[in-house]
Amino acid sequence: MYIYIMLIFITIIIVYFFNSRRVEEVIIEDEIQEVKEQKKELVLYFNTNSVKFHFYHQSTFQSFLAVALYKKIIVNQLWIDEPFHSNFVKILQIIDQSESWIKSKKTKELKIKIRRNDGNFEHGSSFKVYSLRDLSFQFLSKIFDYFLKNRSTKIDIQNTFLASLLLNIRNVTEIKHWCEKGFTNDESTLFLANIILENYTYKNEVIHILNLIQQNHSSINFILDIYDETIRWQREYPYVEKENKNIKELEIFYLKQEESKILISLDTFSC
Amino acid sequence: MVAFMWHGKKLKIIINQRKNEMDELIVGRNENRIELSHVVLNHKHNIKLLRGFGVDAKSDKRYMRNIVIMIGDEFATSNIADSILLKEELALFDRGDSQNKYLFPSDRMIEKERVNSLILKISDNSQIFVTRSEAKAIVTLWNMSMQGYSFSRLLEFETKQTLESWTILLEENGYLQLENEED
Repeated sequence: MYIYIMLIFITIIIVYFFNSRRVEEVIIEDEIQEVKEQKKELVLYFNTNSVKFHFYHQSTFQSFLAVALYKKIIVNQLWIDEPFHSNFVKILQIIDQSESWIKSKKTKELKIKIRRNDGNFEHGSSFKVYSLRDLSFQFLSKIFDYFLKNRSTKIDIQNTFLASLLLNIRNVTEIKHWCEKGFTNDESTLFLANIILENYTYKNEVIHILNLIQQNHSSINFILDIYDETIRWQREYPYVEKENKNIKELEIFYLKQEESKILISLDTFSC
Repeated sequence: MVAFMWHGKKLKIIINQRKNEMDELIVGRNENRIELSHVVLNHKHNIKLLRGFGVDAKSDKRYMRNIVIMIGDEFATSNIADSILLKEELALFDRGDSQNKYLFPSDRMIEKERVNSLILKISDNSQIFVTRSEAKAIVTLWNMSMQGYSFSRLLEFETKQTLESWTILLEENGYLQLENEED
């Protein structure tokens, strides 16, 4: 009686195993047929960050803000078209090498006096000051963020970038000897813009934008609002203005030229 | 598990003790730290007395180390000796000479009445007239403000300042800021 039951169980187990193996063999045969029918797809790994372009090296700039702007505007977007690239770098170097300031409107000016060992007095006036480098670079980065949301043509964006950097260029003390005497503030900006942008094809349009800013035209309200916003959140430094000033003068031939461009890849900029 | 938790608490206690020790050391090195405060001697002509206090790191006591007189937005004196000279010229009202450095006696007419007063000149080429009563009040206010502070520490350990160090102190203590900010 029990032997019959055991034999039945054994036969069920043996039949189950044989059936399972047969299913696996069938599946493997189907897969091999499918692989032969499929087309072979080529997969190439090509690192785009190792391609080399003509850039200016990081050593042309002294501060990290200028290098960050160069990466953000030219390297990431690959705006290497020639008259814009070199003129943009020229203006960045002028502002980067300057240690000039703009007097803030929220200060009180105090006059200080000290008695020297000779018996004479040394006079100076102290007040708070914005640094022109920080202001103009943060102003430009905010205009770049504005144009990410409000699209327009590439040439208009490039011209507004140049005009925004040239707004406060009359306050750079290293360049004032390029100007002739007797100019008002508005005339000196246009005169300097003409000197700096000699080789630029759209020079007249940049000067037109500067004229509109000086007249507070309504079509350029977004630039003036962004300028007021940057000044509100700027840091103020203390400064003393003495009688004898030693001004550092800057010449055009100290700035780097187009021939100093090198073949560089995007990896070196860590993009 | 219990052994690991006990070791963790012990390390935290050690780290907190070391942090407090480092904070004290850093504060103690800056021994020439100076704080500014002012006393108004005359509201009409806006005469102020700026005092620089030095703090002892060990005893936490304030000692006066600088005295400066300000008239408006300008420094009239920058030393202790010059400021005491100005105070004495106020005390000698009429008995002074033309040899004074800061204040000169003069006569003038107010409503058909001859009056003696002192003249004080500012760099803007403007003049201030100080009356007899104002001069006496300034001297008494001076003496009241010097009570409680030691003269020996003031006269022997006066700090030497430059133009740049004055601007840094004025900016830290809020003297270069407009009172009514307009955004």
